[in-house]
Amino acid sequence: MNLASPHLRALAKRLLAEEHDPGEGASDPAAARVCGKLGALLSKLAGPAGYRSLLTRAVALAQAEAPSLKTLHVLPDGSLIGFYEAEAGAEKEEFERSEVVLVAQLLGLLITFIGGTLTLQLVKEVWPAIDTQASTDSPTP
Amino acid sequence: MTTRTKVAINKLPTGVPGLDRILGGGLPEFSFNIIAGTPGCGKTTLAHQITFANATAERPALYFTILGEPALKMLRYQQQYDFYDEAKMGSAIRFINLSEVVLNGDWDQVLDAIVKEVEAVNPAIVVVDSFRSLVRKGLPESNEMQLQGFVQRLAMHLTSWQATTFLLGEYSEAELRGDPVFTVADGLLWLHQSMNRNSMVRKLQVMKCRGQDTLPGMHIFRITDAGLQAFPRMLGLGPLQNQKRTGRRLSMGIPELDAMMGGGIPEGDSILVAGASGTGKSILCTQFIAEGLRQGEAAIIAVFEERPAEYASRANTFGLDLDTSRQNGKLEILYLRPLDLTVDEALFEIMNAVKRVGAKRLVIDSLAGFERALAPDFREDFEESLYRMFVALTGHGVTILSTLMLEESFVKPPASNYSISFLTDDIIRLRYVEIDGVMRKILMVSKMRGGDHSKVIREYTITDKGMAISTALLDGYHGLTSGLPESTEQSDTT
Repeated sequence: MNLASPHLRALAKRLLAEEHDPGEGASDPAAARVCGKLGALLSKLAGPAGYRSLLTRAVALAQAEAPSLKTLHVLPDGSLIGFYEAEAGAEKEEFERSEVVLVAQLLGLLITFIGGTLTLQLVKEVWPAIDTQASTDSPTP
Repeated sequence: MTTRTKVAINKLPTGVPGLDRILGGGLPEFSFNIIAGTPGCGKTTLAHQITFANATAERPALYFTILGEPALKMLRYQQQYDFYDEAKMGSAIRFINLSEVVLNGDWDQVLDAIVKEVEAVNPAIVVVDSFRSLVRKGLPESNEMQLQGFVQRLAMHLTSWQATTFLLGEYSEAELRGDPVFTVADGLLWLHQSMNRNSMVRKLQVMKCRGQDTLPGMHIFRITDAGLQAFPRMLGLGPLQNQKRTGRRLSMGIPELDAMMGGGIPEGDSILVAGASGTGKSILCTQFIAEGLRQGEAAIIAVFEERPAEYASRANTFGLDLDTSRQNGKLEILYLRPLDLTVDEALFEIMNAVKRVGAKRLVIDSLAGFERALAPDFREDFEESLYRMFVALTGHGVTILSTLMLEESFVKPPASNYSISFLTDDIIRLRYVEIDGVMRKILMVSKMRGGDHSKVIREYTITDKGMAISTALLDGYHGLTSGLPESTEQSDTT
């Protein structure tokens, strides 16, 4: 099952770009930061356990498409580990594509459960400036 | 001299059609309420409906989820209802999950978490779903006094912050006694659902609502795509019923029958046409309605056994055109959903239709069909419900003609399941008689509450123009009402 449509991949790319350079010398990959920010909001909405189960499912779906993410694990607090191993084991472009897949799968899961409108409202709450309606204007990974 | 002024309690709409009336005008603002009931009875849907009806960006709603239905699933399902307004999500309605603090904390931490959000958001509505799971979980070292203290502080804080609060819980009626939450609550709304054979019946009861003149008893409600809809059972006995009687007589559409009735049926009466199958009850109904339409009176026909198109088509065969009036909005033929209907729903549908078209005449064809359409649970109370319905409708100045099929016998008096006199003002009896080996039909006006009427038994026939009543007397026979009359000539000779 692949929930990551081209539109969601494009949106995921924009979110990753937003988190690419936090400007504070952070070392976490952009996907970890995107998931972390969405996780803070989703934990409030659905509870930490609810977010954790959703993220675990998104990781599993992403791993099916991007084997480099096999090293990823979801910790009990909802954080992700294994990004560095994944990054080390893949070409830069391949890893970036994997990040897009992961974020797109998480968004796709949310849309499956609560619908597109509410999902995009949540995204806007975290990233108010992001254009959630823009179509895929760049090649999908 | 001082003038006593009462504090004004603002009433919030529930967003549930019919429920505000049951609550005495709406939900008291700033009240602390319990919505209780068994799983699946509609507690969460009701809470959502209230939330969507009242939340605004300025005064939002906070919806705390605890250990019940996961919030994502709840949102998934609630989006299916018509009242769901995506524009309100996030800005006016905020969902907050408290499962972690409930699982790991104590009463004070749970209270702190709620208070923190309430003070930050300044909500008009607060929902805790499910409060019962919070109590059932049994927070560490909790006891009844701690629970009571928690509930009181919660109620006090939320009321002080001018929030109207709803705690949802799966309670059984046996738990009503002794649970401190019921003592503290201003309002207690109980939702019931039961299966009776293959029919699902949902009822709600306002068991407590401080400061409100609520409608007592159990009220039917349904859950449809639009959400909950309640049917107040006292609808007919409310203040709307006091419409003065005009004293006017309405024509039945058959001059000979009008004459037998002393000039027609008194406006606002309920009349019953009783007879065996095939005696022409429905034809009489149609003539009664057609006559009203001719005189510019709008009408409603409630049918249970036939589809409206079939009913209108049958009227056409007697030269009575109902379709034109249906098209121009002067007549509605209501086909009420069979098998799991409640009288309150039927009343609601009929009252709405009466108001919609401004009906002066109503036909219920037939009472037996009506009863069969009810969920089995309601058949026991059919007569009482029917009485309430008749009081409600005649109170609005509507003249009702109902039909009743009698299991007629030629060897014993006609049998009916209903207390006919109790239900109606006037009665017309139709019946078969066998005379000289031929089945003939007779008609009599057996009751007119509002005045004198003819006591004569007349023969009638069904023609291609409808019911035709003979003016000639059926002289020479006695025992006509038995169905097997005897010739007076023969009697005299024996």
